[in-house]
Amino acid sequence: MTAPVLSIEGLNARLGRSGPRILRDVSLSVAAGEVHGLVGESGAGKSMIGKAIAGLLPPAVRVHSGTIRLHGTDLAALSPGGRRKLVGERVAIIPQDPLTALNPCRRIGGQITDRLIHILGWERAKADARAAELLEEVAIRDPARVLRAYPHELSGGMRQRVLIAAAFAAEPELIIADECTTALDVTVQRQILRLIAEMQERHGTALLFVTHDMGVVAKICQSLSVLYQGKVVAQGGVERFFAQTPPHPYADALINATPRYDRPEESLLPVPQSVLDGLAREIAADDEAWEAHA
Amino acid sequence: MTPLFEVRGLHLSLPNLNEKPLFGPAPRVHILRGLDLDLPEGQVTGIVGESGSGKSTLGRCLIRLLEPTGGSVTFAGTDITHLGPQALRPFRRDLQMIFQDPMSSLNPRHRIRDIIAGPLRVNGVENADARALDALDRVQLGRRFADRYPHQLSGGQRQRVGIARGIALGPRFILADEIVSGLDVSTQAQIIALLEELVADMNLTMAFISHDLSVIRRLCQRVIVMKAGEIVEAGETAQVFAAPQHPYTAELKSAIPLPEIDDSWLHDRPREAGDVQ
Repeated sequence: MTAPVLSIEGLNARLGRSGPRILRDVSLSVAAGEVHGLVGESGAGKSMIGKAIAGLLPPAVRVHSGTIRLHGTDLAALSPGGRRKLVGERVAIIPQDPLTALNPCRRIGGQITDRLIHILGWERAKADARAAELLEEVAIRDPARVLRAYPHELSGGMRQRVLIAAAFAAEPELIIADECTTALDVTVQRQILRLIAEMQERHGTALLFVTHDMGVVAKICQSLSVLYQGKVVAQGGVERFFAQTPPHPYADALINATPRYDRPEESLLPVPQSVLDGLAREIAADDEAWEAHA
Repeated sequence: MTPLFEVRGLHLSLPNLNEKPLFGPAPRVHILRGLDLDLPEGQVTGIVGESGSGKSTLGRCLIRLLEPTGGSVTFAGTDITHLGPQALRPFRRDLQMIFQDPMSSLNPRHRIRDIIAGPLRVNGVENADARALDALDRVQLGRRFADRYPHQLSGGQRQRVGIARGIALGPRFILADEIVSGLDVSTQAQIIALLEELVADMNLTMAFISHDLSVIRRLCQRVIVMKAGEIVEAGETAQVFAAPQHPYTAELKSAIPLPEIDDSWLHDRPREAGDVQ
């Protein structure tokens, strides 16, 4: 069996030296060609995991222990420069908000080719040609015009396509998609998800898909980690989660909270207090074990 | 029973300043293209459509934050289409709004009690403070939040404050514009449950703008589907869902990712027009 593209083991992080714990012994792995969902409510720490991989954690967050490996290479063992180079070459991010992620003062073309030229050292002409090719691949009709356009000239869906093109530009091994369809209309969301899935299958990329929408998870992910206050409370193949008895009551509660038009009365249910109490006990037990160990 | 709102031939156009010639008037952009609709009293009507379809503009014409350029808006028997600011004042307390983003619609320098009491004081209501606290109770937030500031609250709590401010004056009509879109699914569920309760208790009439048909299916008795400034379909929610008449409604419905595994959702092309299930 080949090593997974991404493997995280026992990752612990907290705010400052003694602040609240942000990640609690998180372990997960994503294989080539796999889409792994990372689900949780806001504040659960799902974006933190993506940031930890990319080396973009806020300065106040300290990684206490654990390893992040890309194809077996421990990122912590690298020099900062070596880490930047490896992550820059192999990992790409599709961010949530396409308007803030693009520089408003620069044309689209340059923003797609940045990575190709500065990290991978491509010739400008070759990079420009690749950018045009990619825009075609993400179904943008008039690539030449879009390459010269500024972000404000494009619609939200178009901007998100541009970011997908930029993410796939240098054939990364891992893409982290951070709530990348949350801000879109449902019809556009479907197009974008379809596009990401097609591109991901064609390129065999590993995809870490951060979202809070169990509906989206059911459609695009093969495996899933459910986070609550920085702890992975359930993990496994998606089939298990959407089966009759999901592996964790919280996962079940998240599914029941998702609105569904076919069963309006049985959906949009708040997370039951009993489930929240259970989670609080789990977190408390976790803290106790952690303190005892430390 | 006469509807609370009667809208006939509602039209709104704005000058397109991007295309304005050096001399002469700018061409007009048509945002709303002749809408006819009724909002029955005591019901929640959902307004759905993609961004740019004009749903928020329609809402703002209803509560007269915008003045229509054509057609008429009748509220409780009075034509309010072209009333001026002074003439509108008595209607303001009956026409309230809850906003999408509670962080930017709550003054960060005011305490929660003052945010909710603000509209009460402006309208010269006695015991504004006591009534603000009552409103906090109604949205199940608890009085201990009265002296906090918006940044000390979570997203769901802030949205409850927005709702409390909306209901504090005892309005007849509330416009809720994408008020659960920015919330987590579990918080969304709590807010929807709260709205259902308030609508029933206070006999509210509400227009609920959303791009999420699933939420509308749960909360609204009636639904209006908009596209490009026109109403493409309107009717009882259950009926519209059971048998969408317009291909666009069917497309909106099929684009919703239900939380169940279904490979065809991602890989099939959207169904052809008219080919509904």
